[in-house]
Amino acid sequence: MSSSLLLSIATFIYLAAAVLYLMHWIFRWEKLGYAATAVCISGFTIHSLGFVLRWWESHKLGYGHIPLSNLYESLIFFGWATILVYLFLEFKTKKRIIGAFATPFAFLAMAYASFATDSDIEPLIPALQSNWLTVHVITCFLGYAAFAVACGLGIMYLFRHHAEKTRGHQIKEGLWAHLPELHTLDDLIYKTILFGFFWLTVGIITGSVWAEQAWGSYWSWDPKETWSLITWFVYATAIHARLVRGWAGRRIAILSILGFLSVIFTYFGVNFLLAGLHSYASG
Amino acid sequence: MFKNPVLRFLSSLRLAIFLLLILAATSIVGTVLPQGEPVAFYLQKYGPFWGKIIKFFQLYDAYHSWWYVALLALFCLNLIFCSWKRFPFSWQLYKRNPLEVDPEKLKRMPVSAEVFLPGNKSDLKERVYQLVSQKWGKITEHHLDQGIVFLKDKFRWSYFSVYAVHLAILIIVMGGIIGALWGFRGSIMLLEGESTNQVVIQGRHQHLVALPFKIRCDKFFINFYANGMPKEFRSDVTVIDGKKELKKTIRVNHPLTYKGITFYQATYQSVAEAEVKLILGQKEKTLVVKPFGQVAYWPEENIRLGLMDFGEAHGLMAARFWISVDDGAPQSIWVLTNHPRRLETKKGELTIVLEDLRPIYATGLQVKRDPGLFLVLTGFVVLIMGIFAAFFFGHQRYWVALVPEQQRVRVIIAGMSPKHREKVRKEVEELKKALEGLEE
Repeated sequence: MSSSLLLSIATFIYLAAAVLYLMHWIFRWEKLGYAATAVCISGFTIHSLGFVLRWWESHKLGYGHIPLSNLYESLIFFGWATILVYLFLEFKTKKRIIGAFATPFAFLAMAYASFATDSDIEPLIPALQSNWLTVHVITCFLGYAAFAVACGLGIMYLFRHHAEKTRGHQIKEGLWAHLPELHTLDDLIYKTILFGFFWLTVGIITGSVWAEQAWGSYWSWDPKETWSLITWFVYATAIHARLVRGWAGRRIAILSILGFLSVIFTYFGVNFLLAGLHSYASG
Repeated sequence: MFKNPVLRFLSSLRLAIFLLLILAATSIVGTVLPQGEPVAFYLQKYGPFWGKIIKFFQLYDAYHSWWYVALLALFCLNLIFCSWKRFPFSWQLYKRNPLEVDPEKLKRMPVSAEVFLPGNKSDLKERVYQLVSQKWGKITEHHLDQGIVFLKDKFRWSYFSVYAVHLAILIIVMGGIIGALWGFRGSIMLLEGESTNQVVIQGRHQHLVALPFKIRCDKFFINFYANGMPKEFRSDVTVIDGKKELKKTIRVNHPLTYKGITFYQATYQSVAEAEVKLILGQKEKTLVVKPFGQVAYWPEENIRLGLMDFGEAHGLMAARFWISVDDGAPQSIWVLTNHPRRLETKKGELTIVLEDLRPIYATGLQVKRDPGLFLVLTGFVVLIMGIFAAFFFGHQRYWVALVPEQQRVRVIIAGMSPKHREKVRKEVEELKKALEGLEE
């Protein structure tokens, strides 16, 4: 039994959980909701085991380190953190329909990790040999995970908002009426963003302190740093927008989606697109 | 609060939203456009029109351009005036007298509950006090016209956490400015065995800074994992400060700080140094030729030479030198180890013997002095603590009033919190249940 097998199994379990949550929402079948939660928790357990097993495998290879050092491992942790944040939200609100919009993010991250990235365990190059690695990656990805869930909530908000606007009144029936009410969603979006923003801030700062220690510069405007700051600006806007009349609700839902796009770009775009742009420019 | 329209504008939340979004959008430019190239590069690549725009808006160094710095400055001003405008309100909330209440006012609080307990006030007072302080810790007792009230304040300071966050951002910016004005950041490339006090400052205007002490690279090490990935880059160095010599080690992630100047392991080069014997007629001379354009000199014959390249040929080490005799034009020549080469010169035939070609490392160190760093780190700590406090702590205030009536005591529990009303509702509910338990 290897860690990558366990993690692949978890990927498929999350797919099953997402489908169950989706059916729970569409068919309004309460029992399916419980089944979805049970499946999701079992996936999370296997996922956690896979994570620990990978850690142990790296120690057996002779260069043990917490599995947070490359794209594959970060995606695995991102998926794990997303499920963690979602399950916490479910535990707090008992609104399982949110699962239909949150668990797909975890599934996609895991699927991408399993099928499109290199899952070899490799030793740490000198720049990564630092305790800041663990703190930095964990904090950043907790933030990203919260933003993924907030994005799911934002999408729900916009769907319901659109349905209510086209009919001109509060809806009582139909698919969209099963979603939580707008003010509940708004409140959840705000709280999830606060949680994510705190971790993003800690993540940027720990990265900055680490960069200071490794390269002697706490800020050098490299694309990754800059994009994380852009993300920070977007969510700072969302947090302050609440205090301005006319900005609560729909605009914050839009910002929660915009912010997550910025997260995605910080995460993947900078690695693939900008690196490409730069090598092209210098070639 | 501000009558002046300029100050009103600077202190508006709408400006804050606008600036945050504009900063987010404009920060993208420097991540897509190559940075730090000479203006000619942009003119050639993007044509005269875009080239001129890039030049005018200084997009080649977008984050230090006049408009970006102006936006950041405006952002800081906005932060200051926004906070200034709001601070008095927070102060009022903080200072608000919790005892300007009576039973009727308490009943109208956002959260309130009422319990009637049989018995007289003096009997019940002690028991209620016990119960409430067990639940909420330290509480204070005050007199009302109609009876007494126990008061509990939780996290009253939290009205100010948002100012800590804003202040932290200003502290970080301040630290950054101080570092940019009075600090420097450069690099040195040191061959094993060599020492220097000169730091090359990179940037659009390259120049040198002299350190008040010297640093010598004694040895550079590079270690690999079994799979060929690098495991460690390490420089063993000696700091030479007057008569004092300090042996130190610099590794990636483990910099060396001496007298406010910090050295970081940044890069390395693998080069070679050559030992050459020159023979001219009866005379001969052995010279050590070091890499990086350093010139070896035979003063008696006025012959100079330098190392241009090195490699392996036919299983032998080979080096390519340039040689200049009597200040003439330099000639280039490849020499294999122990295979002397002859060169016709103005002074006759010159024989060059490559006696040894030793591999040698050069370590590349980042060097910096940043007098603003302490402020920046302080700002980081305050920012994290401030955001944590601002997001997860809110003022909660609870009153438990005891109003004696005939044969019984009316207990009013009330609570308020601008942020955590649900929590307060739960607490009040729990206390109500506990008080009802006192009846038995």
